[in-house]
Amino acid sequence: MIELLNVCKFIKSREVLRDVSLSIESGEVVGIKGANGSGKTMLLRSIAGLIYPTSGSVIVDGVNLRESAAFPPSIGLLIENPSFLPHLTGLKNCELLASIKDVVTNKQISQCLMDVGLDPQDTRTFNKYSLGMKQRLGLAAAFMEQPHVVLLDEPTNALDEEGIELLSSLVRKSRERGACIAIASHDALVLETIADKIYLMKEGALQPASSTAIPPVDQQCAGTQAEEAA
Amino acid sequence: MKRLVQCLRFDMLAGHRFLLASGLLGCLMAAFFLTGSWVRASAYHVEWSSFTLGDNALLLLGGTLPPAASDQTPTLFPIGWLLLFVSSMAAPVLYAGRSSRGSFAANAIIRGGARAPWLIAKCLWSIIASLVFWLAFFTVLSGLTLCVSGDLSPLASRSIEVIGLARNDDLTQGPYALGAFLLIAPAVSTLLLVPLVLLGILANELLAFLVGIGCLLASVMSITGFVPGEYLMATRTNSFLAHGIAPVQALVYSLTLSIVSLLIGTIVFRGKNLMGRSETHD
Ligand SMILES: Nc1ncnc2c1ncn2[C@@H]1O[C@H](COP(=O)(O)OP(=O)(O)O)[C@@H](O)[C@H]1O
Ligand SMILES: [Mg+2]
Repeated sequence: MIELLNVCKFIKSREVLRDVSLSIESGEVVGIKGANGSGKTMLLRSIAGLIYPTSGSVIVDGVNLRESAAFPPSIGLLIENPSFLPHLTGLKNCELLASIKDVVTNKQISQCLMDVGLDPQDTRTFNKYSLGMKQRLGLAAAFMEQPHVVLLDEPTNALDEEGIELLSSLVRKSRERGACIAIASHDALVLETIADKIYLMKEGALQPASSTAIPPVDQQCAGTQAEEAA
Repeated sequence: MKRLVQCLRFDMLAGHRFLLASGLLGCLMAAFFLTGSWVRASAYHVEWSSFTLGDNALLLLGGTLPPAASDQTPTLFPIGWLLLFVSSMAAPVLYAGRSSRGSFAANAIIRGGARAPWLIAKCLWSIIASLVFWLAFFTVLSGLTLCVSGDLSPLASRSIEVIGLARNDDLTQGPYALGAFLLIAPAVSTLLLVPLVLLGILANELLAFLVGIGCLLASVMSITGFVPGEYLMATRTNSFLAHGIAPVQALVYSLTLSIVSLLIGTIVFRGKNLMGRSETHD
């Protein structure tokens, strides 16, 4: 469970987050839409513990991030423009990251690469990846450890249609196992198909998005398929 | 503790190329400077094959005599000495800086679970990389010296005096013989690396290099225990002793400096917003 209480963040006397309160339950997918520079990335960074709020608190799975100077215990994070070690393959990069916590097997990592449509046997190194492949690898790294908190920042960047399908199926699976998921995207359409709740970020302030009627998941999938068929 | 081990293991794997580069640079420097000692020997018409390991080490680690030397000895600018210590810090500072930016770094640090172990692991990795540099350096230096002269004595011979370097009895005969310097110079330079690495992480690598080079340059110009680079000038031990700074004290001073900077660095890093430049960096 993620809880933000009256979070304000000033950077060089500019207020980038204004009194943001938000709670994300287990098994809930929250979408955050908003214009470029509205503060979506800042919000995700503060949930990840990478930046501290100037006032207010961020509590993730019972850990108050500021007080313990720690990161959420189980978290998968995709920040815009994923970067990896350029001289290693995608698989090696993921294995390296996973070696820190050591909670997944190499087989599970390979499976996760396949889930995002990458070939674990691919011998190409990261610097030879296309933009879309880099994005997919970033997604694989975020999901591979089956984290309880999943934060995705502009996950659809550079993804083709197949990639977006794979993304929404990964999000659905994570939600089924009870993860708290926050997705920030300027692309409201994609958010509407995968998120349970959508908020609008406007100049650092978070407000519920105007469109309230969000169809249940099954209909959403049917909807996307129908759209594709059309 | 467990987190520290996990983070360090990650750095050993992620930074193995830099570790390798550090070792290679050490080998390269040893070969390069032995060529320099050969040039010097021929210039002074000394038999190069009479150089002991101590002579060669002194040529490289010794720096210059104090600028106040009254006689006609020209004060040479110790460009080789400078190059040696700068190259010993190259790989650690570069790796620490690069591996702390970008989304890969963010992904690594949040998996580590806390900020302090991640930072301390970077410092430990840097110490290991620096030791690898010095180990490679002295291995190649000893190996080549063995081939050339067959004399691996850490004491300086009379040949070095002809070159006008080490008229320094404390260094070659006293309780702090050159042998101790073969250990102390690498130890001190490794410890002095910690503040630079932290600077590289908290600010940027270029600044860390500039501060490092600045300290080395300042220590060529003046003699004072407050310039850390001064501890790396073997030939000035006498001056140090006069001011009450012996090599072992240099070791204690630099250890203190590295521990204090690690404490300050950890406090700063715990409160730092991790986002600067991270998106644009590779
Ligand atoms: N490294 C930084 N330093 C200072 N200000 C920043 C930095 N990164 C982003 N900002 C500012 O924070 C605000 C929110 O940015 P961000 O969260 O990245 O927006 P977006 O909604 O597009 O993700 C913007 O006004 C931006 O100018
Ligand atoms: Mg953004």
